[in-house]
Amino acid sequence: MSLVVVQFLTGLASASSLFLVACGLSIIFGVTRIVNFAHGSLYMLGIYVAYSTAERLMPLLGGAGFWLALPAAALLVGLIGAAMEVTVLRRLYRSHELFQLLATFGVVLIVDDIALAIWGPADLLGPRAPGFDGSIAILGSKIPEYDLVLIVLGPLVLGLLWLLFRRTRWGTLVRAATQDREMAGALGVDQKKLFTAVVFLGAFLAGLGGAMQLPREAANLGMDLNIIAEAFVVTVVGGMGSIGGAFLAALLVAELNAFGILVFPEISIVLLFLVMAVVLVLRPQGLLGKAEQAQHATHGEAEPTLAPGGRAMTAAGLLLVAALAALPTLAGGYLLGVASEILILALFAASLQFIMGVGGMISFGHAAYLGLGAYAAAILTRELGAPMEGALLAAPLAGGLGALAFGWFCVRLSGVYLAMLTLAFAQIAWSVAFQWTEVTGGDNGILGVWPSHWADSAARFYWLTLALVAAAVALLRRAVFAPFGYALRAGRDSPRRAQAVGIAVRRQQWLGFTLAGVFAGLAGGLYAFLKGSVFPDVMAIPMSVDGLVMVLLGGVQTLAGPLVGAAVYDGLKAELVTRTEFWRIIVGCVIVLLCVAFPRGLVGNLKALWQSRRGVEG
Amino acid sequence: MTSPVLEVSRIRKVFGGVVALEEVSFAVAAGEMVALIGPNGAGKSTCFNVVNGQLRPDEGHVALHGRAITGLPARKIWRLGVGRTFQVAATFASMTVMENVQMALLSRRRRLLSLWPRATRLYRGEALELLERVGAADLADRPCGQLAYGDVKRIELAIALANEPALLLMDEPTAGMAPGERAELMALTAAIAREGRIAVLFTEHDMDVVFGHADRVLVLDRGHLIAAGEADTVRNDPRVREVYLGPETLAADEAEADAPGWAAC
Amino acid sequence: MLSVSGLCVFYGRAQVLFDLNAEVPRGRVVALMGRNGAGKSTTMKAIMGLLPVAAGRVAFEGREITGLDPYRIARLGIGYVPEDRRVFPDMTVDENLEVGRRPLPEGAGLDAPAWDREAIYTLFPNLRELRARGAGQTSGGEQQMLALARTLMGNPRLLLLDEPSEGLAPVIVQQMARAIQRLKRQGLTVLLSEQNLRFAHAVADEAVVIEKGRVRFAGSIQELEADETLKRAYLAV
Repeated sequence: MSLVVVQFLTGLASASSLFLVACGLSIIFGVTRIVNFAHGSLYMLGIYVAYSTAERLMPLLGGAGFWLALPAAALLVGLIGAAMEVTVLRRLYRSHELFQLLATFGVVLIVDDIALAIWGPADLLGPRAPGFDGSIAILGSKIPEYDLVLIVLGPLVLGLLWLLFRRTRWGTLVRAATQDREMAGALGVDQKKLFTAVVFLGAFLAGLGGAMQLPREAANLGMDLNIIAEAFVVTVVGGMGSIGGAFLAALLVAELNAFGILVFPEISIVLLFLVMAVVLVLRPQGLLGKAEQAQHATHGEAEPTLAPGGRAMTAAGLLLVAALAALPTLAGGYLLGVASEILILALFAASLQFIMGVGGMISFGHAAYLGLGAYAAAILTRELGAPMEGALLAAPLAGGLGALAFGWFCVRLSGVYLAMLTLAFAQIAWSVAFQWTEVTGGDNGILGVWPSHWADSAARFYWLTLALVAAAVALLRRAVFAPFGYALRAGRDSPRRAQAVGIAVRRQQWLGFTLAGVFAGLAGGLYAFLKGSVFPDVMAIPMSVDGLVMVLLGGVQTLAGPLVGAAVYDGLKAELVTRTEFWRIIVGCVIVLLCVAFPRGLVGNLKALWQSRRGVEG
Repeated sequence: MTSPVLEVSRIRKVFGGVVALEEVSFAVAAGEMVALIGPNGAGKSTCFNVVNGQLRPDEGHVALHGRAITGLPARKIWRLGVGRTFQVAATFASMTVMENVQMALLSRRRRLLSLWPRATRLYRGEALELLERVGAADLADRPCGQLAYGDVKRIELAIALANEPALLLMDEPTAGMAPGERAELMALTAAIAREGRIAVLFTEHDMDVVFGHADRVLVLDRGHLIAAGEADTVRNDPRVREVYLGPETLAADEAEADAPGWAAC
Repeated sequence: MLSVSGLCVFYGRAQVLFDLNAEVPRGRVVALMGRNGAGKSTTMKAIMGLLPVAAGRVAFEGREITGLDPYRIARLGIGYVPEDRRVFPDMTVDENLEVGRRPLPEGAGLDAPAWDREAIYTLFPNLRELRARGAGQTSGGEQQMLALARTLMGNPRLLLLDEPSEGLAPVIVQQMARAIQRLKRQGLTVLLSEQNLRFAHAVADEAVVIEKGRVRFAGSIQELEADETLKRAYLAV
């Protein structure tokens, strides 16, 4: 009994920080319509800044220094958020949600490296809270006093926010801008100021959430992605844009975590998944969310029409494959390894492009299916002694089954909600791989996944990879121009019209999602044999984002794009990582720049240039 | 007279305590054009959405050729022979006009899951025929996203006809069109309906369109059907005039300008 | 009061307005007429700063406002009522009015009355009954009324009314016409876009007819009414 009470109160205490982060995310999204991926980074900055500030102030002011450091840190993070709004977010308000998510992920990378440079890679343990460093007995069990502070903080902030939004003119204007920002502007509301202020508020809350954790956990560089995945789950479950919903969902998620550890210590995260699944099936808009209304007339251009490349293109494709097949005569082992990796990632990116470009579904968790394929192949060969051939058959199956299961939920949502859900699923898959040590080896991964004897030279494995990737990409292209791809595109262009001509849009999307999972799984299987090992990283968020950047680099609406994108991105990154410890900040800046300046990607921009030239001449 | 294509019986629909529809019954026969009109908030959209399956009525039922279609999803209703056009025309913007029609034909033949054949090579002839029926064959290869709005409306009609529907539901078919284009589209619709013995139910605000093209007119007010019949009968119905049509002229109201102008709405 | 000269506007690469000129004299009601897609709403949005202007200028009371942010234009005294009303659906009628509230700008002329909630509720009595109701729960006619009232709360001296009669039942259209006539008597200047000549005739003094983004006629509404060729060519009546 006392254990239950302790866990319950611990859950309540954890819920507070999670609520602060999630409601900040929700408020920013409400007004700017941007899901701020970097919100977890602001949370992480909160705890780091609080650590440094407390370290300086406490020798001077004693206990008061600590209590001053927390709001000071939140304030500073708020200002950082405002600066981010002015420099990055402001340029993205009219962009596609994909670019908004990606650009803010670029900020995640940048903040990561800045934090690494300032605070170093080691965990930093903060001081205990002066005045609240003991524990008190409740029903015979000891509860840290500081937890009680946190338990009070959550409802207090909720109440203050309610007053702010319901009882002040500023709050009324924010709510108006949330519902129709252009109209609010036409009524004389200065949007720029309002947006900056709202992002400041959201960032302040995230920073406060981080700072409040100072006495509870050590500051570390992994906090940003951990909290953001949870915050996404909270906002999706609670209902995007609903502060009350965020509060409820934060309580729910935190309690689940607290009790899940008691029941299934190994895979407690699965509980979270189940609850999220149940909520989404019953209330797709979240607990307190409003059903998505038809979006206001978007000013974006209509997606371009697609046409198969014709004979010249097919010939060029065959020529390229032939040229690539000749590569082993020129290149040595290392280069062939890089080339194989590029091919595998090209397939991964192509499968992602299939659901994004053709299906209109943005996945921020596509690495889950790559990872499922990789783990399936590795587990089969290592644990069950299956040959490579069998493992390579199982890999797409595993990717496909994973996509079938997760996709069933994902296609119930659309746009940015879908993106967040895919990310949450991928994070769950990652957690399982990370925590389920008996099967996956946890952090140590699975080693010794080698190809069959006939394919064990670099050249032979490269040829195998080339053959499979070429065939798979050709199949994917074929599907795009087959009725299947057309129906998928119909659902993207106009779901209403598609339904009205008898297309089961959700089912079509679900099957498309699954098909993409199959091909990602195949890429994962190859990846496992190429590396000879599998680690949880293969399904972590950065891998999913790598796939997105490749697609984006090449151009979302360009079928050849992912291939070019994979070659350029993976090649450059391989180069960068060998040269500097701070490669993330460079990649981050490139991503931000790409999203702000070249949303059509490399191939897309070249194509546009080519068409406008021809247009001028014709 | 043969049995009606569409039969709506005693529909009732309540939203959060507010009665949107009460005891609404009507029928539409093959080849007949019926307009559904009424003031804003009278229950027109609700009624329309109950018929097309988007809403499930609390009571009553909707039948197509005597078969209940109450509460079926839109895609199933289409398979049973109901074509639709939307208030804001909806087509597949990333496809050509021809591909838009082919898409509907592919769906009708249940080819949506096939992964191999080139979609653009299937049912071209049939698609072209449908485009000819709405006079848009010359637009076949244009991207649908770049057409003028009036043309998009015609393409939508061609898509709706792809399943050889017995019933055509048109939600404010002429909204957003110039008056001249409106008459053209409705004349085309009427000709197609008569020729193919298709029953047409449409909502509309433009009274020229309603009284120019509808065989019968249904008038809703606050959820009740207050009048139904031929255009002239309805036009001269005093209740209809009171709640909806109003006095004929707009300019001659300086005298009553100081009356509380908005009170009645 | 408002002067538009040489206005060019693009949607993407497509040009929608070509060298458009129009004048709205103080105290007059001008109807901007033309078929759908002629560029009426685009003109309204461009004046309001909601669309980028590629060339040309817009001047309000002699001051150039081209390229200003919409909120600045609104604060200068131009009120905009969009064609699809766009009330804030999840807020009450009263809160909607609060968003529109602006104190009279300094040195504002005495030609426009200072609107506050009381004045609004006197003009539109049934908004008072609905004041605590969510705006999304009101009927189309009530929303049109609220959209106009909300804009009036900003004490504009010039009102831009985009398609005030579109999609409304005939009875409501007549009431709308009466309200515009009343505002005009109170000294407000109005530019409204309209397809319906009957409605324009009832409320407007002058008309500007546009077709495919170019001005085809500018003059009194009576002249337009009398010109059958013009009406047939550009209004398709």
